[in-house]
Amino acid sequence: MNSDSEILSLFRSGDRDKAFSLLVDSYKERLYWHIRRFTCSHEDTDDLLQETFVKIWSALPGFREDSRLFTWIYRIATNEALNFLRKKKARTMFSQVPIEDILYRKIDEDPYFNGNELQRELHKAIQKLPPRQKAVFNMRYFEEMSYDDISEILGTSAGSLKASYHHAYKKIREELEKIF
Amino acid sequence: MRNDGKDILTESAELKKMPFRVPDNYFDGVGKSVRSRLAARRPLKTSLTRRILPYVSAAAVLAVVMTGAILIRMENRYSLLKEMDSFYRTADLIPVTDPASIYFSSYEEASDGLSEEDIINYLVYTGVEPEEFDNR
Repeated sequence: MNSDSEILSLFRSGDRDKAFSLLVDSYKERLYWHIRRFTCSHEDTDDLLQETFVKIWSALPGFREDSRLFTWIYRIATNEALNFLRKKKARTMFSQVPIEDILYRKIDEDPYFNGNELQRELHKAIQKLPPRQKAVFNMRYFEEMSYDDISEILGTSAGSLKASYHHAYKKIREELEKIF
Repeated sequence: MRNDGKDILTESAELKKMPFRVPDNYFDGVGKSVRSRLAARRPLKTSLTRRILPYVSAAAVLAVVMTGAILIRMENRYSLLKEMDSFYRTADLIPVTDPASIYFSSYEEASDGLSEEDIINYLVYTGVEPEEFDNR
């Protein structure tokens, strides 16, 4: 039995405590890195991760298995991350500093950064992408998800996702090739 | 600018790794933090008072608006009834033997507040010759 079916089985049998622990243990790291690629900050990611789990747990009684648990969970996490970026953008609408610059600064000043310059510039280039392209690129490039899975998560056809990924990939490669 | 034709994004496996750390033992505490957040929200969800508060507020606002509307409507009806009542009371006073007195009565009311000079000005304005004033 994989962990998703075990989570659902424990939840439905009334063993909520075990179901909760298994849910958090199975997804905390994956979702943390998934969200962090959008937020570029540990503090924001920590807040969004907790909020994501609260939403997943509150909505779990209504989960009807129209989709797989994994894609349903990722959809909630991705929506949280995209909403975070939308709110952040709305707050900086009248500011002199665009949101991309704020995110670059977060990457530059991140005390938890432990990579090389190419990695730093890659993460900065990703921040230039429109939100949905960013989501597609992150899921495909870093998490190596199939287009079918991404399609289930974002509710977009696999064909248009392929086009989005191609554009995102090209833009990022061009950005990096300007520097390296 | 690169000219070697290689794809920078596939060149190094390192690129796919996340170049960030997390605080020590961070992942060990995630479950506990989420449980605390859920516990903090639970009273809000289960408290009956808090749950029905928005509906009670909406009902109170609706009641005030409805009462206001009913009062305004009643006031309008009352004015109409008063007006009709006054008409019928006036009509009762019209002697059957002298129905023409109704014109006298209306004239008295219409002229209420008008001076003789106002009436003359009006007649001049409407083109009535002064000679005809007395006939009007």
